[in-house]
Amino acid sequence: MRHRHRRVHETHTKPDLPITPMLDMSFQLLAFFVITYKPATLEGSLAMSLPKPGSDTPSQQVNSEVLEDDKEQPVMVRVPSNGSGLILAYELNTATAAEPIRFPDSDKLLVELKSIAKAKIDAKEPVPKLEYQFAPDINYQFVIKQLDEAKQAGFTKVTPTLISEPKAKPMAPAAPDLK
Amino acid sequence: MSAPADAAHEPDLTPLLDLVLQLVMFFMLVVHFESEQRNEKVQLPKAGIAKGLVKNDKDRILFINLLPQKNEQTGEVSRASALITVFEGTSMKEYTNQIQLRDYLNIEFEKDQRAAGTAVWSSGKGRSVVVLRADKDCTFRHVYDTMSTIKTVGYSEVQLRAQVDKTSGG
Repeated sequence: MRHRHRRVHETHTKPDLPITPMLDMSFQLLAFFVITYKPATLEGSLAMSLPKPGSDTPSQQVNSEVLEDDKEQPVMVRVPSNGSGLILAYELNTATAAEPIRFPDSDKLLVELKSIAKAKIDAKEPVPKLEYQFAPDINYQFVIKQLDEAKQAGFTKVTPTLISEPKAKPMAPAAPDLK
Repeated sequence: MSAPADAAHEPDLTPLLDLVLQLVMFFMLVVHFESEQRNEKVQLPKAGIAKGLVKNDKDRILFINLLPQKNEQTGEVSRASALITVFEGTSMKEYTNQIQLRDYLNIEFEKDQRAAGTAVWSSGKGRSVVVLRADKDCTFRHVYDTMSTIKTVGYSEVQLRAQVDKTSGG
């Protein structure tokens, strides 16, 4: 009762907090951040093993080095160009296939690569290395697309190298002259 | 007479202040100060499965930017050479050939070796993470030559930078 009585007679002084300077400062901060804000493109990385140095063509010597390192032949995809920076075709070369399999587009190659990787994973064997051999004039964005798809297919070790010339078939011995 | 009327119409600024502070907080969180050594002219290719940078906390990062040189009159990309940009602190250095890049990388490799110490170095650790930011208009020859130079110096891996493509699978 006494308490209520005292409250009635209290003078209500509203605390006066200076909001305006704080608002000014906040607006200045906001202006700074709005001006300096630049939405950066989201960048990611594709980890790659580096190709063997000192050789323009990953010839037999380089492949034998890879074999010694891994004790397993890598899956190789040869990517020639059409001469104007575009991909002509894809030639897949595996340890089991006698002849390279030629794919006209990357979708079918991706399906094949996925099946190779899946078969290895199902057999609880390590997924082999994948070596891409690109023609030197191929545009880099197509290279990245292929490397990206290889990673999507399940290959963890991917190496891009320069294309090698197809092996020349040994010439058949000349027919003996019976004359 | 006017004083009480003014007091009655004084706007309440507190909600406005709240709103502004929330906006400030948003921009503080999303602001991206340039900490990476990137050449803004480089337009990266797109990749769906590109991930964040794989590195340990102690690893240094070496950024190598690769920009194809274009013919100013025709706008055609030169297939012969690409401009290589690296950063030393805040200063940008431009190289026009692989020999200059190799010299730069050799110095950085030696720095890594000195900083790592014998035990760490011999275990294969302590090397900088090399990040290659090549423009999408580069040819594979440009990129391959740069990768070969990086390998020649002694690095065994490189991280190729790409723009994350959210529309792509993966």
